Amino acid sequence: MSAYTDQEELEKLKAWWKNYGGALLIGVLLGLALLFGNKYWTQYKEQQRVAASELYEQMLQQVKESKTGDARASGEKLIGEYARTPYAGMAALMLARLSFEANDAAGARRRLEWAEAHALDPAVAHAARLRLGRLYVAGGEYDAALALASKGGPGFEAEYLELKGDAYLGQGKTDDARAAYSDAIQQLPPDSTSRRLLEMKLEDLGGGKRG
Amino acid sequence: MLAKIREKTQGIIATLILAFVAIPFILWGIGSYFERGSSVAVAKVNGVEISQQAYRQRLEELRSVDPRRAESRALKEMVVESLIDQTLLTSHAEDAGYRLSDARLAETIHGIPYFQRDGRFEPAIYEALLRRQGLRPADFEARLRRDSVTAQVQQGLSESAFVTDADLAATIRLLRQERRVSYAVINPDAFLPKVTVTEQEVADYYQSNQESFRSPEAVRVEYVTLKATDVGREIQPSEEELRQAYSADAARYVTPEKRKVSHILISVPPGANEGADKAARARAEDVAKQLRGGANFAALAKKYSDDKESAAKGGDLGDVTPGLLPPELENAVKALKPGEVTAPVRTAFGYHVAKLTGYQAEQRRSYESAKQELIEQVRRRKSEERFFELGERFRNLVYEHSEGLQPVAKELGLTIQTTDWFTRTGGAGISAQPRFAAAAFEPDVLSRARNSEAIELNPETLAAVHVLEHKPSVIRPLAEVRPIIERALKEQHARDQARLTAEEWVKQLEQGGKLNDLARAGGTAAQLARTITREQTAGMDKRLVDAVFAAPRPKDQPAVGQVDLGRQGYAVYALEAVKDADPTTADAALKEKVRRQLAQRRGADYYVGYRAGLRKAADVKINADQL
Repeated sequence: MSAYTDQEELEKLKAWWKNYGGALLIGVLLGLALLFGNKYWTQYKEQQRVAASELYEQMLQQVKESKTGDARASGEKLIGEYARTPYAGMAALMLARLSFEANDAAGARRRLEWAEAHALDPAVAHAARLRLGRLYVAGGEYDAALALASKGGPGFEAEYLELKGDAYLGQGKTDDARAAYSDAIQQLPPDSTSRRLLEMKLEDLGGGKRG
Repeated sequence: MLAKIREKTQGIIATLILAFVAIPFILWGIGSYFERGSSVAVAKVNGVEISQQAYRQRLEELRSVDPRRAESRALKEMVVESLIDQTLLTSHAEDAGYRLSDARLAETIHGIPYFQRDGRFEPAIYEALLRRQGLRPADFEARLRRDSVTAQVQQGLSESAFVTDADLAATIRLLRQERRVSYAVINPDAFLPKVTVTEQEVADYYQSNQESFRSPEAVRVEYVTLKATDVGREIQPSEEELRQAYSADAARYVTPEKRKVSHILISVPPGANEGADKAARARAEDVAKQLRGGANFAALAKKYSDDKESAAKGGDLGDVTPGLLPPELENAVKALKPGEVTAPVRTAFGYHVAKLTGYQAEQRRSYESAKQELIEQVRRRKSEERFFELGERFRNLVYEHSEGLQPVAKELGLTIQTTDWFTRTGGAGISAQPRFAAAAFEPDVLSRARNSEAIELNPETLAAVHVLEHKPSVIRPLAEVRPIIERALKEQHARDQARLTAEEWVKQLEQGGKLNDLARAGGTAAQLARTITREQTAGMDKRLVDAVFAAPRPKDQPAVGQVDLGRQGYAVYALEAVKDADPTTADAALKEKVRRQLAQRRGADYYVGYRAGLRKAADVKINADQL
C-alpha cells in the first residue's frame, strides 16, 4: 500500500518538474546572479570611493603646495572618472576656486554650475549655488542671483538671505535688502561668525536695533 | 521512520539535542546578568542609537580634565549634543559615500607624535598608550577613521571657498567707514544729592525684592574621621608574626648556592658501538690523568674538548644553576671542592671531565637584618586589615548609636572635631568636600534626628557628621537691609533723572538746539566733534560706538540719539557725517587681511550651516532620564 503511494507521489513530482523545472532553474539562477551581481557592484562602488578619496586627498595636498597644474589634473580626473562618488562635486568646488584665483570667472561659473546640477552630496550643491550667487552679484546679474537665492536650503537660510540682501542692495532696493539682512540675522546658527558682518550691513541701511 | 526517531529520542541523542537547544537560552540569560547598568540608549538619531557606553566614555574623558564640572547637567547635555552632531556628520558622510583608504589611515596613525620614538612609529608605544586609555586599537582606528572622514568633508567645503572683489569691496566700505560725531555724558552721580527716598518706597522695594535679601541656609557640625594612616601607626607586630613573614617570604631573603664549572667533553655519538665508546673512554681517562699530573685545564680543553663553544673559553661553562647540567655530571660536580677535577663521567653526550672553578655557598639574609623591612610589611598588611575591620565597626556604631558621635569616638578612640558654618555648596576645610557637605544636609541629619551615615571621603578616609546648629534660610529683616535699599533706590532715581535729561536733550537737539549749549547748561562739557571708525574709536565707550554706527545716515541735520552707559549714566550724541571707505584706495595689506577673514568666515560658516541643516532634517530623540 505504502509503496504504491510512494510511486504515485514520484510520478506527480516528475510531472511537476517537467512543467515547472525549467522556470524554477531560471529563477534560481537569476536570483543567484542578482545576489552576486549586487555584491560585486557594492564592492566595485566601495573601491571607487576609496580610490576617489585617495585622489582627492592628493588634490588637497597639491593645492596646499600651490601645484595648481597637478591639482587641476587631479580634479579633472575626479570629475571624469569618479562622477559617481561625492568627490567629483568636491573637486568641482576646488576647481572653481582655482579658476577664480586665475582670474577666470567664466571658468569658475562653469564648474559651479556643474557642481550645482551634478554633485551627489546636497551640501556640495548648496555650496556651489551660494558661490555662484556671489559671482552673479559681482557681475551685476542681480536677477540671476535672486533666482538662485530663492532656492534656499535647510541650515543655509542665513547665507541665502544674505545673498538676497546683497543682490537687492545692488539693485538699489534698500528696503528689501534691509528686510533680508534682518531675517538673515534671525536665522543665523548660534555659533556663526558672520553675525558682526551682517549687523554691519543691516546698520548701514539704518536698520540697527541697537542704541 | 518517525517511530524510529521517537525511539531514539529516548536515548543519548535526545539528551544531546536538548542540550544544543538549551545552550542559547542559558547564555541569553547569563548575558543579561552581566550587562552593566541600563542598556537604554542615551539618544537616537535617525534610527542610530548613541549608546550609554559612548556617552560615559566621553564624559569620563572630560571628568579627568575637570571633575567638578563633569557632574553638571549643562555639561552632560553638551556631551549628548556633541555626540548627536558627530553621529549626524558621520552617518551623512558615510551615506554620501565619503571614505578613507586603509593606507591613509595607517599613515595618519604613524604620523601622530605620541606614538613615535625618535621620529618613528613604534607599535609597542601605540598599543601601550591605547591600553592606558582603555581603548582597543580597532575602536581607536574606527574613531580616527570617522573623524578623518568628517574632517575631509569640512576641509573640502571650507578650503574651496573664495571671495569676490564685490564682496571684498562691500566689506571694506563698511569696515573702514568714518563717522563724525559729538557727544556728552550725563552722569547720574550729579543728581544723587538731590534725590530723596520715601518710607513707602523703601517698604515697597523690600516687599517686591524679598528673595534677594535671603540669607543662605547654613549648618555647623561636629564630625569624626577614621584614617587608614592613623590606624596602622601603633601596630607592633609580634616576634612570631615577623618570623612567620620571614619564612613565608623566604625567596626574597635567600640567594641559592652557585657553582662555576669548566669541562672537557669527549663526545660519543648516539648509537655508537662499543668500540667507539671504549676509545672515547680511554681518551677521557688520559685527559684526567694529564690533569692529575698537573696539566693546565684550559689548555687541555682547547686541545681535546668536543664542545667547541666552551673549548674556546678553556672549557668554561660559567655559573651553573641546578638542572642545567645532565644529572650524572651535576652529581659528580656537587661532590667537588673548588679546584678539584672529576673522573670521567658518562652522559648522553659522551665522557666529561669537569672542574669546579668557583663556589659560592647559599646566602641567607639574616632575620635581624631584614627585621625593619618585615615590620613595615607586616604593619602595612595588618593596618589594611584593621582599617577594613574598624571601618565596619565605624559604620555600625555611627548607624546604631545615631543619636551622637560620642559612642563611636569613645569606642574607637577618635577625637570629635567641629566645623565652622557652611552652606549646601560647602565651606572651608573638610566641609569643602561635596560628599561631606551633602551628608550634613540630608533631611534627617539636618533636623539633628540622627548622625549621617559613614561617608567615604576617599578610599582611606571615613567620616561621620552630626549637626550641631542649623540656620535655616531666612529673609533678613527690613531694619538690617534698610541702608542697602535706600542706596539702591537713590541710585535708581538718579539714573531716572539722568535718562529724563537725556531724552529732553535729544528732543531739543532735534529742534535745532546745540549740544554744547545744553551740556554747559547741565553743568557738564560736550566732547567736540571727532571722526571715528569701527576700529579707531578715540577712546569712546563701546556701547556708544555701536550706537553711533547703528544710527541712520544724517540728511540735512545731524542724527541724534541717546545711549544707556550703565553705571556711567547716559550719553547723548549727534552724528554729523558718514563717509564710506573707498575700497579702491585701500592698501593691499588690508585687502589681503579682509579677504582672508572673509574666506575663512565663509568657509567656517558654511560648515556651521551644513551641520545645522543636518540637525534640522534629523529625527533626534534624547532620553533625558538616561543622562
